[in-house]
Amino acid sequence: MKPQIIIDRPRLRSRGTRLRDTVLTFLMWGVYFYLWLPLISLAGWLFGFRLFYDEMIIQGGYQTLMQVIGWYLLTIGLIVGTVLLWSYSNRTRFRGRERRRHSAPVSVETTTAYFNVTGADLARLKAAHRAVLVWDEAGQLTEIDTGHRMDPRRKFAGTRRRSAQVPPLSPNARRRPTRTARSR
Amino acid sequence: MSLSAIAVIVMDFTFYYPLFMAYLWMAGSVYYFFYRERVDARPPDDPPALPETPGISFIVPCHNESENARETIQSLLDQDYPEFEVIAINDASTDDTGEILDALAAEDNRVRVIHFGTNLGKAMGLRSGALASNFEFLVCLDGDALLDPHASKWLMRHFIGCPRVGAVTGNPRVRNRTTLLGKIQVGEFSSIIGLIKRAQRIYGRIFTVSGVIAAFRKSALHRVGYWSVDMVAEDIDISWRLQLNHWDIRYEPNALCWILMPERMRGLWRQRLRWAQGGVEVFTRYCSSLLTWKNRRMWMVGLELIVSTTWAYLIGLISLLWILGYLVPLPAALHVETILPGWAGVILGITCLTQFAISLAIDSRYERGLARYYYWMVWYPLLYWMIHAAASIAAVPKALLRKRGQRAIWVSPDRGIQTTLET
Repeated sequence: MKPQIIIDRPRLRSRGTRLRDTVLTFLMWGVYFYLWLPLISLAGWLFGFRLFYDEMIIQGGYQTLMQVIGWYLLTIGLIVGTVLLWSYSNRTRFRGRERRRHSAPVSVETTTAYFNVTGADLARLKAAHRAVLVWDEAGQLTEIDTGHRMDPRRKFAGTRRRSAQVPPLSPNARRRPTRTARSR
Repeated sequence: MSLSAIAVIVMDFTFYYPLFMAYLWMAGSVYYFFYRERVDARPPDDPPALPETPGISFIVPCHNESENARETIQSLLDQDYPEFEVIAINDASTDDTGEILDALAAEDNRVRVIHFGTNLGKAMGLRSGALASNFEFLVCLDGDALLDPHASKWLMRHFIGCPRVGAVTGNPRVRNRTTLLGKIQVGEFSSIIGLIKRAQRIYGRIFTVSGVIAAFRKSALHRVGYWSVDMVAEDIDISWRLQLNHWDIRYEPNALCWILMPERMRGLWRQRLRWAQGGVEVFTRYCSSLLTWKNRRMWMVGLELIVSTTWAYLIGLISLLWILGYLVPLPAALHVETILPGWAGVILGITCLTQFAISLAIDSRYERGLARYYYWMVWYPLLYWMIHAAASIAAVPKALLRKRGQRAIWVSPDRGIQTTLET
């Protein structure tokens, strides 16, 4: 059966919760309109032209608006202009010019050297449909078990922990030979 | 400079920073849409034919995914791609994830399972998957996500013929939308995450691949030493290391991936705190590498992180002063009259609604009926900027005090209410 992609099941929530969310969001829209109070006032003044003239022209209310809008538009223009100029310059400089050569796929040799496993172990792991891996505290692979009857939880019973102190892994991390077990 | 002059600068910065970032993201994403997305003009279910189809190893780290593992693996087996294998990592699950994965491996020989006996974390799961993989290209998917059947071709088209591309990140879409938080996040993933990724692609480097769905070139991973096991956000870490090593990371909006997001505040807070902490950890570890001319294209990403974290602390300080002003008399320079300025409020409201409209217009190409979420998106400033601010404030000390080398292990996330309420 195909899983349902969009999970929207209002019935999982009570009617009260749904109503609360809708009302709260409606109130949030009210906050937006509150932000626009000066604009709404402006529209009101426009309808009563005399008051608008008094507030915006005589009292100089428009100056604040012009100051904010002028500076604001200039900054937005600068942002948009910089983005467009930068993109255009990158397109003209780099489009269709590939300077990097294709990198070779990671070879078995580099993988075995990096993870400190033998070629035979790696081949066995790559072919396995089921495997149990054991990593030590230093982040080194110490065991690859491709047996089929193994219960990983039983194997590690009593060793589960919340966190462990380990150094970050690097190619030069402390090496230990990998112990392998084909079956138990 | 007087205290009141500093106060004015701080107030202006805290108000205008999110506003102008919104315009930066809008400008970048509109440009990206016209020059990259619209040029393709193909729907997500009609990917372009590829000149070659190199094999893919899907890697799926799982920890207690018994509810989701089967449908996640099935979404991979349903991929419209000729050659692939699925490597599922059972990271010491305490439920029956291991048994489910073994059963799937028995049913389909393209599925392979690796078990860990102890909880080693997602990064170690990914490393093990890379070690066991038979192919050069790795597509990593979280154990509770569903990959669109055509996503593989969309992801792979970036690698073919582009040797500089080290990773490609897909387009996560929120599945669970039952609660208000779920609905808000649908809008957030469009208006913030989608816009930011598009804009970052335009101005240089991206901050992070989406940990839930990303494809990698194995040789690129090998050059940077694969995933770090001691970073709380291994996706941010690998993104920075690849780009500092001059690999390109692409964003592919057609590679749809359906994800489960937290639907409770506690789960959301934990997730955002982890993201914020991950960003600070990565910055502190690699900031010295940024200070070279060779890595100049990462400067913007680093700068964005510094400025947004500074903004978080300043907005916290201003809110504190605003509340304090009601309780005790403060010097005039420190008195915050209001946190909602007059005409600037008009601009703020218009900017937010414009951003929602642009993001939904761009994203409706990938998901029909998205416009209905416009109603719920008014919460975006509260959800994104306020939670982001609070999480950044909490994350800095957590990141700085965390011991280097401490392994990051799995903690089962909140995956929405649909499962808990159904049972």
